[in-house]
Amino acid sequence: MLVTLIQKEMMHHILSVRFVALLLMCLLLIPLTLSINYRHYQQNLVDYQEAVKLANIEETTINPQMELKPELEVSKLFLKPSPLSVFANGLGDALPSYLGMTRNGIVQGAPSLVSDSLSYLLGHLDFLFLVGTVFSLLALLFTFDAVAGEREAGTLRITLANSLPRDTFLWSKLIGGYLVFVVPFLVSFLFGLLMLVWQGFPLGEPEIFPRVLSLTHVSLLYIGVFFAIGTVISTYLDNSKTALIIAFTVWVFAVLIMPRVGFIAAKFIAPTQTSQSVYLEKTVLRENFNVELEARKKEIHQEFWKDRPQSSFEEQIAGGLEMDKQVQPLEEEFRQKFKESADEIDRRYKRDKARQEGVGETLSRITPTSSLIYIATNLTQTGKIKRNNYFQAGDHYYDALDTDLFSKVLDYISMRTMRPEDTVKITQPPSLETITLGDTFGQSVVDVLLLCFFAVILTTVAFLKFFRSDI
Amino acid sequence: MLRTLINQELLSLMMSARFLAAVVITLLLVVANTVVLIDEHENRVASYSQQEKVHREKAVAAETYSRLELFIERPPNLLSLFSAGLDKRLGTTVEIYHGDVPMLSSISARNLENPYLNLFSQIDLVSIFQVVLSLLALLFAYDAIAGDWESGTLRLVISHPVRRGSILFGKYIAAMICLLLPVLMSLLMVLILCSVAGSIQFSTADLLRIGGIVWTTIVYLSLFYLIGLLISTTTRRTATSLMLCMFLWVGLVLVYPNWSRFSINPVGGMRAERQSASQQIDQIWEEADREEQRFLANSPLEGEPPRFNIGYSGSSSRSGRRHGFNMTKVNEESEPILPHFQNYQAFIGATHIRLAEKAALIREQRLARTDIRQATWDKRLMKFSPASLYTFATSAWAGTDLKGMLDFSRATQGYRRMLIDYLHDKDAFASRHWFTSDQGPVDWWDLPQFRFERADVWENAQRALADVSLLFLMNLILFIVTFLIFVKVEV
Repeated sequence: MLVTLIQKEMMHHILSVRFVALLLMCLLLIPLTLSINYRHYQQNLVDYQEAVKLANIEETTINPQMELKPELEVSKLFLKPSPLSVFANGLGDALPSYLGMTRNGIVQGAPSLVSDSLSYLLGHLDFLFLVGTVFSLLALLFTFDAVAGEREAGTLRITLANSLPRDTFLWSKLIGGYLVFVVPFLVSFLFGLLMLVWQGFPLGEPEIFPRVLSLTHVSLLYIGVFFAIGTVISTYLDNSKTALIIAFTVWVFAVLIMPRVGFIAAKFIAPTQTSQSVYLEKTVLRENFNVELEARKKEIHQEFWKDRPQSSFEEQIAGGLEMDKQVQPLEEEFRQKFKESADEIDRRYKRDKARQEGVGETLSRITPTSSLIYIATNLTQTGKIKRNNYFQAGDHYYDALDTDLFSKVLDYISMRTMRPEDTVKITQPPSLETITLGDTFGQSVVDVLLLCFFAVILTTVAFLKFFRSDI
Repeated sequence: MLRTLINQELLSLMMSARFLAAVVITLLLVVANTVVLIDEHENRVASYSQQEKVHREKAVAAETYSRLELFIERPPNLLSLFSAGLDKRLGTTVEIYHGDVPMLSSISARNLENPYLNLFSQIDLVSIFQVVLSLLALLFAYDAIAGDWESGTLRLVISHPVRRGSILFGKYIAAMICLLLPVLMSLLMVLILCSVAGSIQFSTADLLRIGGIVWTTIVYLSLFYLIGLLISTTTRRTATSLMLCMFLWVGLVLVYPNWSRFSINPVGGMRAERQSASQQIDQIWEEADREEQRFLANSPLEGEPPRFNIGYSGSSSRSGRRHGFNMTKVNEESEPILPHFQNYQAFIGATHIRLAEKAALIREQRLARTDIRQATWDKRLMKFSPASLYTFATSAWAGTDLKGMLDFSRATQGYRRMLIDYLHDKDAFASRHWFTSDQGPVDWWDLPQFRFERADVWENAQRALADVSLLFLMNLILFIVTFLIFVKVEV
């Protein structure tokens, strides 16, 4: 009986206008979006390679005896675009294109979103956007009249007058609709992947294929959640028009509004400073220390030259070198003091930022769309994990440069003598760690469970309501 | 009769859940967003003032003319509350230096404060109207004719001596009033919240610009209502009409504006264009090097530029082609060659100014052929969607569009010329103060201040005119088509 009902349901959907619309959307949007984003990725890769070549870090050498401006970027850690950004651009364009290493700390290069802003006015279309926004809406359009439509037309009463358990009826609606929806979706996705392979995308690589497969499963789970939402709405209402309007309102809130609300609310719940103000605070701190250091040095200077008012040029040079020796421990002391205070400011800012982000992330999980975005961007290595790895690598690189170079730079010195043996070859930027698929799922377990939870709980609600409702 | 029809339609719409939903959703979203946007704007203004102060302090701290590091900040646009456009995306800091002409591309980029939020794109007040109210306009329209047809009331109404045009017009006017109410109510809330915040003061020109944005919103919403009305007139069932409306909405508002830019790339590869421009610019600077060599061949200066064999204590810095000196004490034996060094600096200054302007012409052409051409094409392609037209028109009103940014870029170029005039007036390039502070540091009391005046309201109106007119034309065509279909349809 269930199979017959599923077949009937499938035929009903296939013959409807919405199936044509779904087919068109799938066949048109998925392969084209994938193909265009692959081109975009290739452009990004060329830009990245050119930027690395231009920076020419392998050849850079610096003599710590030179005057080194605190804001000079001595080296850069570039962000290599991920090939999986073809599926979900995620933070790809919003992350700084490089992390510049300066004595003042790490400065962030402009994200391509900012430098290419003329063409980024209206957002980015990728597979994740299609699944999260367009296909979620289509899923609701497939289910809004599952029960309400039958009830309105009076066919529900006739169907249930037969010896047909209610659960079989609802399962047939859910499974039939889902199959009709998923088949064109998967076929188009497969077609899109074939196009990508034809263009040269390394789909077969062990680092890529399992992730694409996982992304497909997560997308199917997400579509399942929206099928469940549509069915719940449909079981609660008698009128299919009202059901559609409600479904649409729910979609606007779940997809367009709620994911942002979490972060907006977090701004008020856990406010933080801006990164600009932190940078300024550190600059002011350095200037204050410098003023104090200058004053102390002036005292030493006056004390030193008090007894030698009329010295020759050679004596002045010898005196200058001797004074430098006296000043050096003082400089070291101030450098240490500045570092400690600057580190404290950084730690405080990072702590506040992480807290705010954590609150925003948790609040935004109220809707399944956020969970989908988090899992998908982690799977495609364009999400939070990638960002954390990037910044961590930047921190480690900075520490290495600090030990090799920054700690050796002398700011206040009377005579600069450049010896070739002092020249330091810049440490090469480290390559970013790639996290395994298992670890990715480990870190996204909350979101996967939340999607499963939404699917199960909403389906259960739909069934319970349908069992209890009067026909 | 028309009045009765409008009254009746108005009553039925206002009593519906749709109207309540429109008011509640719009008010809720607008108020919540305004609070966030005001807070963000206050932060931007504070950061602007702080940065401006830092830049000023840094500039006047220079002890010699060559050590001058002059930066200017782009002031945040108050109307970015309504339409953010490029205002928050483009950089805010520009360096003013006589040897480099600032361009749109050299406005150093601003980092995104919270990149994680980028996963869910930013929202301004116009985007709420663009997404939510366009949807509500379609929800108001989908059953306007199809619903009456389905319930049989259309036949009843037409059996009376009522013109079909009046029915259509009555429905249109009533729906527009219902759509305008949430817009105006939310706008009033925005103005109240802004005045409560205290930090935001709208000038008369700003209010006129807001008026322009509201007017564009009305035309935009009317267009979506007419799209719905056309669908409703051509279909017999409300369910079909609603479904079609939603597909069209997804296509026009969500998919097309994002997708068109990626799928069609008429400009083609810009890499070659960029490379050729860079080569030309390199050639220009090679010319500068040759001129310098020629000058030095006839000069008694010895040693390697830029320090030559001048003995001094103090410091020097180098960034690109730019050399800054602060010789606190010049050795006596170097004194005789200083006039030649001054001549050399005057020559280098004049050459750099001249060649920077020559290079700027090439950069400007490159920008026009690459980024701006791409942006213009994107804009043209996106004009097929009313949602994009609306975005462009409102950003033109707010002054946050590409032309608004080009205005700023031109202002920075003007300021560079002011700086050059100032340096010429002081005869700075050939003066001793260019490289040494042994006779005291430079007094910057009369260093010109940067002022940026935004385009006036009429200029904004002219920039928005094309897009608003296109929206208006679409309205007119849709109304005529709907009217013709409705007049001919059999009831």
